Amino acid sequence: MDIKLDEQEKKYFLGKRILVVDPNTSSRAGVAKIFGKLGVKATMMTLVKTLDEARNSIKTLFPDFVVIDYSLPDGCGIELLESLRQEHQDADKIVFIVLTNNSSVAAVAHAAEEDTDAFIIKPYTVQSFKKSLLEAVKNKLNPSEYLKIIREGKDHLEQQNVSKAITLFEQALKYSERPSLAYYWRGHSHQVSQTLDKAAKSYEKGLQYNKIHFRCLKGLYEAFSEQKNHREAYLALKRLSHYFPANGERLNSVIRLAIQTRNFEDIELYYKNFLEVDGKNEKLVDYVCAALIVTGKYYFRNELADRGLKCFQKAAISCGGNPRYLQEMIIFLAEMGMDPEARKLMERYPAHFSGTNSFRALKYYVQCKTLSLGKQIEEGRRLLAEGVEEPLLYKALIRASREAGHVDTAEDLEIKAKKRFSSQKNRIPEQDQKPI
Amino acid sequence: MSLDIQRTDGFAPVDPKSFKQDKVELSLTNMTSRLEVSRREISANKKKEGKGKFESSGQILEIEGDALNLEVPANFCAIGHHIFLKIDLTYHSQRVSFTSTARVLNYKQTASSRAEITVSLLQFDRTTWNILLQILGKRQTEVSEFLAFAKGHC
Repeated sequence: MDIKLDEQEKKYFLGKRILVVDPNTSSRAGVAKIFGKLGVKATMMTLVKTLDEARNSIKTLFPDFVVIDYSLPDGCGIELLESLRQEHQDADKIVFIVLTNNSSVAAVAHAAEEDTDAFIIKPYTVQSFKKSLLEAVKNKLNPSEYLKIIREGKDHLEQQNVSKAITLFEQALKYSERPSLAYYWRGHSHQVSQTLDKAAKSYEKGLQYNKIHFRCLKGLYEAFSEQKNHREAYLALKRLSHYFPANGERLNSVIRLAIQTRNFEDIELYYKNFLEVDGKNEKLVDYVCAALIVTGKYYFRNELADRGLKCFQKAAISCGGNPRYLQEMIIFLAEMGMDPEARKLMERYPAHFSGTNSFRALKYYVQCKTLSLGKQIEEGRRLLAEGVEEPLLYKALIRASREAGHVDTAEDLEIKAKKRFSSQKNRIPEQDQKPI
Repeated sequence: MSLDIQRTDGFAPVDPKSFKQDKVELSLTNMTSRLEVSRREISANKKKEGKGKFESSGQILEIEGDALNLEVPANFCAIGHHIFLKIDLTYHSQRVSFTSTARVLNYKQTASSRAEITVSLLQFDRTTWNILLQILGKRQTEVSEFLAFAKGHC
């Protein structure tokens, strides 16, 4: 089927440079064919397979169009936008189209956040591709009066002319049925001027017109964060995360704020987001594990042991055998008298840890609850004699000695432990210590 | 010209949470050579498939009217061959199963093990085909609307 273009469209595509980035040869060829039908010469098209190749291309090429696959072998296609902005001052003029098999909420939300011009789902019909393409071109080349005024306001804002910018953004408010973007820029101008209350109100106003406006949602969170209003910042971020989930950095922030504001019950929700994140980094895993453990403890302390245990199980899976997290949960469970659960969690330790002193001390600590005082002391001494000099071992042995009425022995052990671990602050965990 | 009516209903055209990872499954049988390409069967148990099955799947690249550009394993077919194709599409709660015979119009090897073919649909149910196209169009519209709203360019 031929694509029919009007004269203006035909003229527009003449001489345009296209960069197509897709790991699939046939997909690249398919996109090139469509642009060919639009009048773009083959010599004006650069077809590459990877993000790295695309980054190299844009060093010498200023494309008018980028059509890029969301999932590339060496990263996410949207990352190229950042490279384009670094390489080219006029990067905003480039029509940036993301092409993908991935229509998941995370992918679509990611495209919206990054201001991509179109997000086309494979397989596509040639007509729908053309429609999305022409809409993107139209928005770029012939912006509405509303967008033109906003653009003018942004220019003033860049030149630090804040009051003129605000005047223009207020003027723009009248040109759209849903002027959320104008409210965002007005709010942003107030934020730049540090009038944060006005900024927050402007963002809120924008959201009254369009509750999924990304920038208003993000602006609201940032304005409250700057005000150190953690409660409101958390609520704003929670709204943002509802519509735009699974962003690694933002997930860290929302988890941190949820704990800070004691919204423990939301942590399981963010855990679901976490499961959908591609390429989880160490920091995010740390945040999630720590949050699940804190939340688990909260449930245990509020007599919701089942939910607490579920949080611990999720943390145990997510931490991938990290002894730091496993030990924290095992000690907590043992102290709560949940020895079978503590022992079960010990099975998650990587095999190569089983012979280590820290593992043997932990095992002893958990076992203590099931042994008589005499056995506890006997076993503890045996381990000490074998060189298992661990703070946890001392802690259990001192406790057992005291309970057995061996006050002198307990004091000797305390002195020995303090001497042994004096350079390692907090190495002897106290009963109520909460390291995570 | 400025507008008199503004809508403060906090409207959003679609909740992105409703986006689901849709599935488009393609199964192909070369009616001339009896070779088969089936994503589902391959993922189930390759060893049981025996001879005449390709290990890698086929995929739809684009649709132009009643013609489809497909990526298939190299040497799956040749120009003039007749194939039987089955497309299973699941989007939200809708599931469409479309079958058709088709003729291979073009064959182009794009890599050592892959080829792009153009096929023209021959015998098929027009209503089901239209429903399939409508669903593909609908999911694209939903995504585009969400994108426009999230950016506030509306």
